[in-house]
Amino acid sequence: MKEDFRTLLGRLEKEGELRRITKEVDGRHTASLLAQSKQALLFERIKGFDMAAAGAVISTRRRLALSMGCPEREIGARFEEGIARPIPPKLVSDGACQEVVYKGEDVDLTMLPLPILHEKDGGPYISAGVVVANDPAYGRNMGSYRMMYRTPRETGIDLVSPSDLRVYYQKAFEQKQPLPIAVAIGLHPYEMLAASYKAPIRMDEFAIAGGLHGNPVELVRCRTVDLEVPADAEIVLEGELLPIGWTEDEGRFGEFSHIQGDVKWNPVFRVRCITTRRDPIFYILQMPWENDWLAGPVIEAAALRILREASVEPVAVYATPGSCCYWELIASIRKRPGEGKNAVLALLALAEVKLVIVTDDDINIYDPHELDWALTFRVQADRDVIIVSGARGKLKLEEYL
Amino acid sequence: MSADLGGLSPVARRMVEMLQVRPLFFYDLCLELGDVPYREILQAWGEVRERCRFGRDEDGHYILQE
Repeated sequence: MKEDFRTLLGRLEKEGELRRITKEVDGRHTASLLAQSKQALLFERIKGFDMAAAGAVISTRRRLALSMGCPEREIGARFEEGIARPIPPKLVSDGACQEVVYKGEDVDLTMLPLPILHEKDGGPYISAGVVVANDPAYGRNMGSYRMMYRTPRETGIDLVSPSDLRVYYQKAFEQKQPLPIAVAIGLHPYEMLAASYKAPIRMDEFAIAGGLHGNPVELVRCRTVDLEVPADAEIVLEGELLPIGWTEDEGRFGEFSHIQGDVKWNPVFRVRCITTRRDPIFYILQMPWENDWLAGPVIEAAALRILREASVEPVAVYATPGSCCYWELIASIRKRPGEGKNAVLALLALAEVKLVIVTDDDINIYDPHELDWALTFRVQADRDVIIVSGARGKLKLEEYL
Repeated sequence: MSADLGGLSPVARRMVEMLQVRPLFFYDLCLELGDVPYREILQAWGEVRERCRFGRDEDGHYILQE
């Protein structure tokens, strides 16, 4: 049987990586308390709310590695191994996520201790929602999307960036039809990683999560929409994306790039039903760090793969947190003459990577002092630095000014 | 802006009055309403959202529109 969100919280607590807060806290302070903590936090009592909340679960490489059950330097390899052997999900008749069901007048998003993640955000956000949708042509899709609280029965959702859900919604919108969705909150990082991974559109992300767990993800049918969600979720929101197009204000939001994004125009999610465990734990995904670490294993796995494709032998790869685990890669390689530059060019071919450092295999690339030593004593800039101009898809500074 | 505040809860009414004075982020409203339980703020924000039309200024502050 696979590990779920709350079992992981227990394991982190045993490892000294999670602190239980028993004193009552104000719901508007949870995110700032998370930002001040070196550990993940579990808020047992939030004033005015009947549920607990946990956050910063994978805000560090150590906690991500613990959740993946591997050494820190192996998160990329572990992810690669999991996606290489997907395990289809299993449908079960009932699940803990439906122990309590709220419908009709009882639907009220203010039962959730929604965090204020940043001062300039457009409102409180559900940051750990995993959205499940279906399309007749492409099949089931699971993805991570931020959802801005609007009213007790509505949230905004960011569908501006390219995504499978955006494709599904565009089709429904053109037919003037709502798109039924379900939003699972309080899932294990493996489901979050699978949801964040840009899998081919016809691939079932639940099978990827199963591969990462080494066990099938158990799914239950939703109560009001024709969709399935992980049976062990803490909370599930069921409803539909209204066929109104990109017409309602959403954001600002502190993005995973550590930069405050602008106001966008987006669709609205109308919630029809909320199901929960009897004693649910709301997951506050701490922006930007947890979001960044969801990218880390994916980018590192891609780096390992592309280095091997280039016939270079990688020893270690590191998607640095300073680059949001996304835009900079450091790799140590067991090199033969010329392969250092081959490795640089191979890694720069990855979609978003814009800065690459390649070292010999005797350098511990996770130690900034060793890395500085290598940069100081082994790099002759006029000979060893490569600058590639005009490549597509690289982050440009002007986009953020 | 002369919104009809009839039927709004006292907290929602305070929010509208604050937004009539100057553009605000949601966080600013929470600071100003420090004496109000957070869940009541969420509920009141929903009321205001349903009743009023918002615009945004160039920084993303909420502005009440006619």
